[in-house]
Amino acid sequence: MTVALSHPKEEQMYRLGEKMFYFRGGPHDFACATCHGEDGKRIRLQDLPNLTGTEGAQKAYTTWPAYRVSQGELRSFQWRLYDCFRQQRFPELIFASDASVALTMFLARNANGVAFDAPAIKR
Amino acid sequence: MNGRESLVSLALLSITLGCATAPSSEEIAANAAAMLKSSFKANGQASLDRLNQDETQSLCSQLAGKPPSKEVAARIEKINRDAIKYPADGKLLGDWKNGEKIAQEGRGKQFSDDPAGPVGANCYACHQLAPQELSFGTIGPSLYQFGKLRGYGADTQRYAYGKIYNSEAYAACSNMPRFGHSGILNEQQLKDVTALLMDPQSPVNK
Repeated sequence: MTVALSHPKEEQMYRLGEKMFYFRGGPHDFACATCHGEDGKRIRLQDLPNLTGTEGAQKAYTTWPAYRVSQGELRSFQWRLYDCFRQQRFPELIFASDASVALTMFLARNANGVAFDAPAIKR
Repeated sequence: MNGRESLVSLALLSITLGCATAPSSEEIAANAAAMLKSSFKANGQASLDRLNQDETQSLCSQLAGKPPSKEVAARIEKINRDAIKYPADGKLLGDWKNGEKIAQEGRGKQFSDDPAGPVGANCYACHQLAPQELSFGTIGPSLYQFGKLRGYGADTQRYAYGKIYNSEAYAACSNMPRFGHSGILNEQQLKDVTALLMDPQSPVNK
């Protein structure tokens, strides 16, 4: 992973992704950061990656697309974002929309420094 | 390089930089609003107005994960505390058994949920409560023995109900939803969850 921010449009998308990551909305006040902003947290027994840190972002970003055993389907990173927003009680994220691209940029850049490791198998 | 040449170079340099300067915070904010508008579509009960932030959501988003200043925290806690509505009958404790069901229920308000179906609080997603339930999350603190440790008095009852009703009244930019304020739970459900924490017979206090 070597995602540059050398072009101003790259930097702009990264900063928009960061904005989106911390955007609280909906009836539950949830943002991406609510669940993915701290180390060592979990929902029920499911470990949550801290996507603001290098290690968490690397682990999460580099393992999509993934085969989800519980769903019997191959899922994309776009789908992962879509499903997070569903659980955040947001309206439906449009695939390939600017918000999805911005968040992808934000997380990809945060994951710099390790080898891309997809496709993976997840629960 | 003479004086005139360096002026020309400077002008050229600033033109180049002008096209390639990093966006200002104002530009990012304007672009973020446009991005939100174009990136989501309404689906069932999850309409687009869910993207319109109230003051609390907006202030907390701007912090980008950092804790609020004393002044901002005081402002958020005041507007939220002023908005708490306590039950007209003065009773804050309902049925802890029903409260346990609400604490276990994760459905409600997602576009994939039946709008006529159950709406829970999903407390166990983030908190330990009754010790029999081993599958609990850790985003929030353990609430095991909530009442036993604090006492079962009227003030603690009022705090527990208020905290569930509107968490931002007590901890600005808390991760916890405002279950009463935002219309997630109804009054009876709020009483039932309060009882789960505050009834001496509740397994939480065993």
